[in-house]
Amino acid sequence: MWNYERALGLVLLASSLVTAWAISDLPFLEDFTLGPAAAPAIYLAGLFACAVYIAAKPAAESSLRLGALVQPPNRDAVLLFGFVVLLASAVYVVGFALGIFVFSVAVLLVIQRWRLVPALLFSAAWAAALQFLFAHLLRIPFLTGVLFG
Amino acid sequence: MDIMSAWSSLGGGLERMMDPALLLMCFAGTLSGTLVGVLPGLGPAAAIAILLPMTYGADPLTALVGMAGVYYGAMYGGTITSVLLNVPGESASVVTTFDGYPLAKKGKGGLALGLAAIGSLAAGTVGLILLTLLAVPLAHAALSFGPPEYFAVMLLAFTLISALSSDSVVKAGLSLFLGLLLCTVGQDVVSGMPRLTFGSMQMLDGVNFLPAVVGMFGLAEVMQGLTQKTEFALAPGQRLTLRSIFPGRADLKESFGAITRGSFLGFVFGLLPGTGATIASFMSYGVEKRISKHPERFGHGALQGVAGPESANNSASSGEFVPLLALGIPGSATTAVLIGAFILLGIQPGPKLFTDHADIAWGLIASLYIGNVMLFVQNTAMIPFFVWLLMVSQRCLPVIVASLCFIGVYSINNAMSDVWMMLAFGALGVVFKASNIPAAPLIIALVLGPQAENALRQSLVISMGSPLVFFERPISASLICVAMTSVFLPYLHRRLIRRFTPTHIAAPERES
Repeated sequence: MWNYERALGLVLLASSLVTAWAISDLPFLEDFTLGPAAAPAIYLAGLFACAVYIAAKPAAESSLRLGALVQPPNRDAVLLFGFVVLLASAVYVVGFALGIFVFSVAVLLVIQRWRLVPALLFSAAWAAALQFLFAHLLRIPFLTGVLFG
Repeated sequence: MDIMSAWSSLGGGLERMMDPALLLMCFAGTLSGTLVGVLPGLGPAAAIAILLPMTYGADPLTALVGMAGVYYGAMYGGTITSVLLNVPGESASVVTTFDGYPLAKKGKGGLALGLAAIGSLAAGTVGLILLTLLAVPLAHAALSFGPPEYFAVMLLAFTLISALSSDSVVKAGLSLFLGLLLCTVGQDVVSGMPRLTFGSMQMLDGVNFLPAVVGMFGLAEVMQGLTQKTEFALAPGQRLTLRSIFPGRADLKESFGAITRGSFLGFVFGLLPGTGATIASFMSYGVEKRISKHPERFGHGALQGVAGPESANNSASSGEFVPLLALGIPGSATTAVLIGAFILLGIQPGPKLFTDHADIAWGLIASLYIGNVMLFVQNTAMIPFFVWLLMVSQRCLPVIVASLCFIGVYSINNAMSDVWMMLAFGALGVVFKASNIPAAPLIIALVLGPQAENALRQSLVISMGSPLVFFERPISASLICVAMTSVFLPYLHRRLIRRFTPTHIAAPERES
């Protein structure tokens, strides 16, 4: 039976093996104290034990059906995450201001199901407010993007 | 420092707080905190983490006053939705739904909110007085702490947080060990060797806890909110006027005992790492129900069922500042972020705070007194505004929260790598929520892990490599024994919650 716990447990087990390999060259003990590999090794042992437990005995209520991710209401959460990832990718090209505007329009139209004109107006106002607060008042250097840079 | 000196120092702090800029920041922080408590999707931990980069360049006290206001205000704000909408704004307000919403259904929502506000003001003040009296003596006692004692205190914090944040010790342990492992990424402080960087120069700086907090407590929360859409609706027949909010003499007399007991009970629980406001509120509810002459009223609109827990959770918030300021030990994910804020502002919380940065410590404590009064005004006169805002904001909250998370994290170092890290932790946060794995142990591990490792290694150097050093010193030995026995706490906690949750209400989820 696949579920979130088992999947997480297996991912952590695989990561633990990679981590163990990564620290294998570091010294475990130094003069009178622990070396740089000691703490990661101790934490890794605990993580490995916990990961084995949840992979072997996952709780039934955390069931994972891939199909559920593309159906409402989970679909909205996946879409939001996807839009944020697209925003993070797009800012390098179009910059923050336009990126936030397009992100906001997308979320309001697709997830919140606003109508087009209110979504455009709200998004423009929100992007402008953020630009004013962060770029102008707090002087945070936003990326302008390749297109406008 | 004796009692008179403490009050004298507090007076100095209050004098410093009379600066208009500090008062304005205190108001902004408490208002933001109330909004965070009212609006679902952004917890106080993530809100403080997002606020932190905006305070760079500001006076440290100004920044800390704002962030403490957010923390404190969230406790007040969570009550509004608990009473009026049967939706707890914060985990510490879960208990308030048991009797607050039934009161609202009877048309007494204003009364419940007024009692909660008065109880919070009174208990918050009691908690702050106890904080004023206890923080400095505890800090002085902690000056004698060496690395073994510090390691033992942090070990206690880790075990208590893990034992009490989830029904499953294994899941909490997984979160804790993952956080501890992540905090070893980067350059080893002692030897200078890179650890778990996989050749990446960016990873040499390690994993910053701020993107982790915003990802797990901000982005993941708003994503989960989309999967559990709730159409908020006021209880029928609700009319909130200022007159309806303030309780009459008889109601105050009926609630006085609950407020008093909740004040002291909450403070005690706030002192202990890992317990805090949520457990304090449950304990208070249990105590009030047990000693009440009419226990059958509980769960159906008992005034003590609102006044006691609300007093306890606010007093616990004050109690959490004692270990935070005096020892530098957080009691929850939110106070862990506050500690991170202290460090980023160049101030080390702990025993030397009251000697090296006395003006900041006492200014912060003074701001809590002032913020307490501001919150009382906001949470009585402004309730209709907050309710309106909640109704209106439902339709655009995901955009607002996600944008603020994105830009707030970018503002930390003006680097997109932090944003990508936030996204990774956001995805992890969603998986954690789906698996009922608490996020708080991971965050606390990220904040305290490096210090714990350093203390451990220093202790072994002092003892020439002998691990018995932790048991040869009475304070560290006692703390380690308590830490080991805390493994049994989840069983006690489960019994506590099952026992005191009314049968017609399902037991609530733990706070993350």
